[in-house]
Amino acid sequence: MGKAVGIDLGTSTSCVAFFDGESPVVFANEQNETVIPSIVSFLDQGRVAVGTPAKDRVIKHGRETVYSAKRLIGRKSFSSEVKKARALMPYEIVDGENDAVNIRILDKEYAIPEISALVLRELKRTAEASLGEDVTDAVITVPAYFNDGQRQATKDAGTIAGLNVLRILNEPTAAALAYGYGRGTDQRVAIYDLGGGTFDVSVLEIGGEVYEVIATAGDTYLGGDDFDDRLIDHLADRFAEQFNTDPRTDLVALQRLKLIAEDTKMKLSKEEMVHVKAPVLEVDGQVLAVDTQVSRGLFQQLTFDLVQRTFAVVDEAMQAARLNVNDLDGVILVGGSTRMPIIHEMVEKYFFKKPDTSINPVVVVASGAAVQAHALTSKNADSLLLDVTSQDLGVGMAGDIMETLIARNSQIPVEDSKVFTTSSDNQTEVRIRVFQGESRKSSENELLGELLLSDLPKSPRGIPKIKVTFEITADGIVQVAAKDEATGKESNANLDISGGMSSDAVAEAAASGQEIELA
Amino acid sequence: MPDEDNKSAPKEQLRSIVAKMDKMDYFKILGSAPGDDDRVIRKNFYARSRKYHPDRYHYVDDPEFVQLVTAVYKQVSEAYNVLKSPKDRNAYAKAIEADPDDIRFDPAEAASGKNKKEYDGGTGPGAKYYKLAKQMLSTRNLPAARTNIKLALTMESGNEHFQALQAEIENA
Repeated sequence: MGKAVGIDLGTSTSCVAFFDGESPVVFANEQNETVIPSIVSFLDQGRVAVGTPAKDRVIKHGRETVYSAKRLIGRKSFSSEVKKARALMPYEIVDGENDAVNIRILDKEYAIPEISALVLRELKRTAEASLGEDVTDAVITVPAYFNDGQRQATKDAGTIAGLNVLRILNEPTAAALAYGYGRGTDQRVAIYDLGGGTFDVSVLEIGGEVYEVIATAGDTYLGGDDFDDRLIDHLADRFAEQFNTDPRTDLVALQRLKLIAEDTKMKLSKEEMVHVKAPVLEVDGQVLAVDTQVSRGLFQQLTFDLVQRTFAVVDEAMQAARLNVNDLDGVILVGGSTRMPIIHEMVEKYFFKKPDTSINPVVVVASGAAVQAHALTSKNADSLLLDVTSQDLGVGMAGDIMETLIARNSQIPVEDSKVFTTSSDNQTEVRIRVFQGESRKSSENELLGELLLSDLPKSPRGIPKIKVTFEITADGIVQVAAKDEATGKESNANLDISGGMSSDAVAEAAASGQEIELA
Repeated sequence: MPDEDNKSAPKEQLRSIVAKMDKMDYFKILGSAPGDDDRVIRKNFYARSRKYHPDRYHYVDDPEFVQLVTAVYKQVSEAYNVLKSPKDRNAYAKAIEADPDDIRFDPAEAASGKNKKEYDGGTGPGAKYYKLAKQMLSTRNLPAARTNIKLALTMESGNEHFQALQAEIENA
């Protein structure tokens, strides 16, 4: 076996780390970057650029350059996130297998895990160059609030990249591990994790190198990108006032605005006032530039509701943990978006304590993943993570009601079973719809898939007893098994409830993906 | 308990632990007793986790062993999920006191089941027809059940319980 690394596969940026039992090391690539943009750009026949060189191509080669793929991974083609992406992304999003989406570039279609796999391969290459050894195994992190489909798709990405995925690990849990490892103190902490596209909060009890997640809550539609969007709108409005034309209708102008907004946001973390002056739109050979002042106060006004939304999620986690802020020993900020001064201010106000600034919020998740990779591959690991499932898992009942089988914040791995029967005489099939989400109404939750119990022996209604066992693995992935209670036989059930790529498609992509050359 | 160095004998041991656990109440699975507070429950859960969490044996190249230890641990996490909150812990302690065989009593399910039973049609104008529909369904008089639930729904079209019953009648 080669080496096992930890990988933070982020919406905006990604990072790889290694842990040998002493202290975690974050690897830098040849350009000395420890953190690379999660962007992939297709150059020509079979060659791709990943990271900063890909980001440099966003404006001129928008149709061949994919960013924020994490916002699409494991999502259904009809979800609101996908609809939004179809309207805003310069690359072409088309319908794929099992309600998933693909991206069409240079007349070839790629599933989202295939795109993410290219970022993973680049990180693998960086780690191998630094270690001078093969990297075969990885712990890959995901937002705690990711559902089954998103986790499975991320795992598929790892497989396609040629990695044995040891674990799909929750980002805030990874951060807690990196923070607590070796400190040797018993404490209770909250992790406030605002990334590029998602927000998570987790409350943990740390005792003697056991890291127990007590509760977690999140929003996979809330991240730094949303802060950028507010600035894009503001800048576009100023531009429209001046030139009487809306730059948002032009995809190239929109990409420029996106980069300008991101840059302005970062500058506003250090400066009180930023003078924005940059070309946006070309009309009849004339370059029109946005030219305006943005103060930190104005930016905070534009985004205040987003900040407030994070604290509604924090409330939820604290309630689920049955704790109040005085019960906590510390608050840890994770994710690049927590560099915004307003986040520090509001976190301090909410928790009545200054957030811990001893860790780097951008690389801490990869470091924690590396510690876990070490724990899972060594005999005498001292740390142990006890994690929970972030969403209710249930089955759809009559009248649009979801019956919860495994409640959110349950310790995993865990399983529960339920006996199903027929509702009419001689019925030979039973369909069971499996959902994940917070609502009591099935239709408001994510449909993970439909389970079909078929070839039931003909009998009066209510007589067959099919016991279906739902398991949530340590990866947070759902597995289902069915057994006929009368015969004791494994039932004929279609158990592959996770949508997205089939295992055959993943294997095929793993083989053909290696033909794509990393530039 | 699994031995760190010898993985063949412990498989037998794990098998017997799994069989025993099926007959143990949640307190016994955690090595706790009714009356233990949060702190003790947690301490015992950590001790069990250190011993049986499958991550402790991830490096072991024996799928059967890992499967067995996972089976043990799933019982441990199930027990902790029920006993970790004082409210569910009390409800569980009462349930097994009343019926010592009810060792897989689920306080959350019992609470939601109770709410379901309590629903009697409410106090709205459709209540009378809802009750009739329910009665007709229980006697398998489906046409009458259908008519009554439709009447109930014309009066309270948004009532979720009514909609649920209608779906139940349609599927019957």
